[in-house]
Amino acid sequence: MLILLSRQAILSFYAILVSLIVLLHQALPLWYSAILLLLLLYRWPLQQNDKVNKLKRVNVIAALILLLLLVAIKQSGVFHFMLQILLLSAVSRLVLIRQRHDSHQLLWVLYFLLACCFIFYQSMLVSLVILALLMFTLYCHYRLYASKQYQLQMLQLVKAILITLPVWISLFLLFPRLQPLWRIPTAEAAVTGLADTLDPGSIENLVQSDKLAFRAIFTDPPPPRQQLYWRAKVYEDFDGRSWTVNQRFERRQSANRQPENTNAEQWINYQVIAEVSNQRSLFALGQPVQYASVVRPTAAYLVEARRPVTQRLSYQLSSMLTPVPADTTFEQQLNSRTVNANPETRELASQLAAKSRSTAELIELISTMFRQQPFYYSLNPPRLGANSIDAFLFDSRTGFCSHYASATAVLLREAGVAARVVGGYQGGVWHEEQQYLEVRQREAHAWVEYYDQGSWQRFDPTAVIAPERVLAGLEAVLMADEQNQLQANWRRFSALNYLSQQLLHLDYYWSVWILSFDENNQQNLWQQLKAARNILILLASVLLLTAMIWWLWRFRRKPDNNAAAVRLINKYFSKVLSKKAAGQHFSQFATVLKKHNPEYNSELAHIDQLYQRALFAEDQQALVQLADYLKQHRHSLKKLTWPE
Amino acid sequence: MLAQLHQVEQSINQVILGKQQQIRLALCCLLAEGHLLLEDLPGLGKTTLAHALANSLGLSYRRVQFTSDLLPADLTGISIYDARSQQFHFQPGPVFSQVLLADEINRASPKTQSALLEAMEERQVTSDGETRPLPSPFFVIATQNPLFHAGTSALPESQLDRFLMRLSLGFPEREAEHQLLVDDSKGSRLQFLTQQLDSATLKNLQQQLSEVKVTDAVIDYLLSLVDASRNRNDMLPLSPRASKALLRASKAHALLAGRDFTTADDIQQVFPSVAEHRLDPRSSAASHSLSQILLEQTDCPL
Repeated sequence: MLILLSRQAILSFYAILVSLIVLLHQALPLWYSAILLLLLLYRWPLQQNDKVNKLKRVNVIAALILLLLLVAIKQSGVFHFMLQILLLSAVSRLVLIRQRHDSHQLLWVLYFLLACCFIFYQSMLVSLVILALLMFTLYCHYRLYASKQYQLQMLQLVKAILITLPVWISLFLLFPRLQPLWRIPTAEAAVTGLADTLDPGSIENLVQSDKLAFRAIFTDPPPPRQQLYWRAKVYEDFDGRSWTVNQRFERRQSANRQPENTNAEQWINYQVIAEVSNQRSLFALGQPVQYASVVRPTAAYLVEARRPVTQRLSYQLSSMLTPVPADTTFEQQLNSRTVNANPETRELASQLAAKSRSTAELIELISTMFRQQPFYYSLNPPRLGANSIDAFLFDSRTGFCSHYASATAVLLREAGVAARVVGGYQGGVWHEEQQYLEVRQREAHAWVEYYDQGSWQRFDPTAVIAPERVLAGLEAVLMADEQNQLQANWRRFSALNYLSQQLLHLDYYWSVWILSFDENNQQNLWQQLKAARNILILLASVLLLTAMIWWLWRFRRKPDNNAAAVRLINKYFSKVLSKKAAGQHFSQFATVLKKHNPEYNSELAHIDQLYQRALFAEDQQALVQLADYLKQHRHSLKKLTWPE
Repeated sequence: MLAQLHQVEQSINQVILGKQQQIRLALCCLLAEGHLLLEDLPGLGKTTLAHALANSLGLSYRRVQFTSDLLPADLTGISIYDARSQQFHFQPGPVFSQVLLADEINRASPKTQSALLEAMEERQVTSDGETRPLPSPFFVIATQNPLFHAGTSALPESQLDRFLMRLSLGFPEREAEHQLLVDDSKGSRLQFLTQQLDSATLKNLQQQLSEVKVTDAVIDYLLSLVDASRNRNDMLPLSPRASKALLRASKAHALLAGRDFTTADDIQQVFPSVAEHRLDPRSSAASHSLSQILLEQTDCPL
């Protein structure tokens, strides 16, 4: 049967496809998005009645575009290529579409593309947008195939969704997460968070970002703030100005590295939900002793993900807050190398080394130097030249955490102590009500680890120069104008601030309950279900019994075989209809009613007319109109009287 | 087309004054291709109505005055020996016309009445062992005097059942009769008949009739009426032929009202005329008592 699509339907498809192109922009090169939009303009639905585009022409255009895509496949990768082809097919279908029959494939491709959007977005807000689009597509689908009678009834759609909701939920809870299928392909995107190179100045830029780095949930009360040093990267190589992670040796470590002290009472168990960073390095406190399967240990007791983190990653860890033990002797050599730069620093280091008898004393001397000499902590330190450490220690004396860490590490190395700079996050905002620690890029920090007595001791020079940074957070240390620099303009309005905070909390629950639901949770759920088997069986049988009783009761009640129009009349005229003589039909009855209620003459006449068309001519439109009219006038219908 | 029909209806109304409802029902009956029985006291205008109907339908019609000595062959025709060709030639009787006006049908003997039976139901005539089809359309418009009149023999139930409707005109209203007397000097009232249908229009109308919509709900109501008659002792049960007739007449009533769908009201309007003579063959056409009982007591959910 040939059923032409209404302009409204085609416009809806346009809207969905354009939003898809916007949503999937990460997978599409700019030129390709432009071509797709041009192709959509090629047949603008507002002039629907002109002749349809030639199939052949569109095929040729699509083939040409496909060729271009094939050429660009190296750049985009296979996965993006598949998405591009799907979008191309959807767009060319839409350009040609005319009948309802044609929209069939288009709709399924749209569903699939919408599902693909979840690969790129995991945040709650975008998910809601995608879900809304999905609902809209469903609604369009429904409107295409629903009979005229139900076309106006949004309520039906809502009902249908409510009925299928348990299926959605159980699919989410029970659908097996088959690994090769469940894996989301890696999309190439900009790396965020701490980089593999630590310049003087890179952390200052980072802390001005309001973005979330990760969240942490502790099984026990969280450790005090000054203990919360989240290690992410260890920088070993120093070139006189900046620090880099050494890439030349295999950092991977076997997972069965057993801690010597296995007293589980000192362990801190926590879960980290890391935001997208597109790099592997993750965050851990102190010395991690137990790892979730999604992460693996690397050198220097760091943890990393098995793949770059392209979507939120949740992992469980147990740590001891003790100094990190030495991994290899090689590690010490690596961290004792000095470079031929910063001569004044070298001079100072040898003086300090001469004055001290142990490493601890040397650390004490450095601390004293920072504390007693006029050193300043600032978000906007002056720019430093090639011999950055010399310039900082003897000239500007104003720096941020990375300056102090880097200067300390160089001093220690020059004094013959193995030392390295550790990058990570310090502190975080504890949300008491929601029971989680929120760590933003704001908390980015750098400190020093030096080798002493078989393990790597932590030394944070920032704690010496600006102890509030560690105890209360960065904002406590800075001057007012520097604080302003940290805050985006809109954050100064407390209402907006509050709103964004609530949104973040919602987002937190979203990631805890929805995104981090994996096989383990599934297995736990099964186990819990198994444990509660008896109660569940009881519940199921009770449900079954009530359903059966309800069914029997329904069965015994006389089924309402009346036509829809008759049911409507029975519903709205229930009060006076009992007075109707058995042999009277409604039109006769309405005539009598009119006589008794002359003020409703026109309403009753209109109802009668619609009723007759709806019932005897089976006119669906009249039925809808009747239902609407009765609903509108239900109050006046209640006032109809019948003389006793 | 429907407008033409309404004009015909109006012009018949000029001939028979003040009997709109009966005239409409009579037209329904003919539109539904059913035979019509008019029963009344003499002088109430049955024959005039029959003439007017036959005339206005634009069909060829023959009138037969039924008497007690009328023989079947007088109706169907006889074979006459042609001396020249030395063969029998069939001479068709008055039944071979599109409309047969059977005046005072109950004055004829049962034998002659039954000769009409085959013609009415089968629309064909068998004479001398040869079956001859009747022209199409074929209507019988019969008139009869009430049964208590002298020299009448009642139509058997089987034949009554073949009439789709039985109508009675009854006495005219005072004003109508006044008008009748005023116009009397002008000659036959049939001269008021100005509109005629042609046979193509009639065929079209009957075609339209088959397209009139009947919903299940309406059929259910009709069946519950018929069922009610079958569960009672004080009346004859209505046959499936009766229910078919009821449905056809209702559809015709809907068409005449200018609708393309049948309502419960259509059924109720035609029910007395269609059902009463089948429920009680001895009743007079003026009374609708049994059909009224059925209409009042059968629940109408529509």
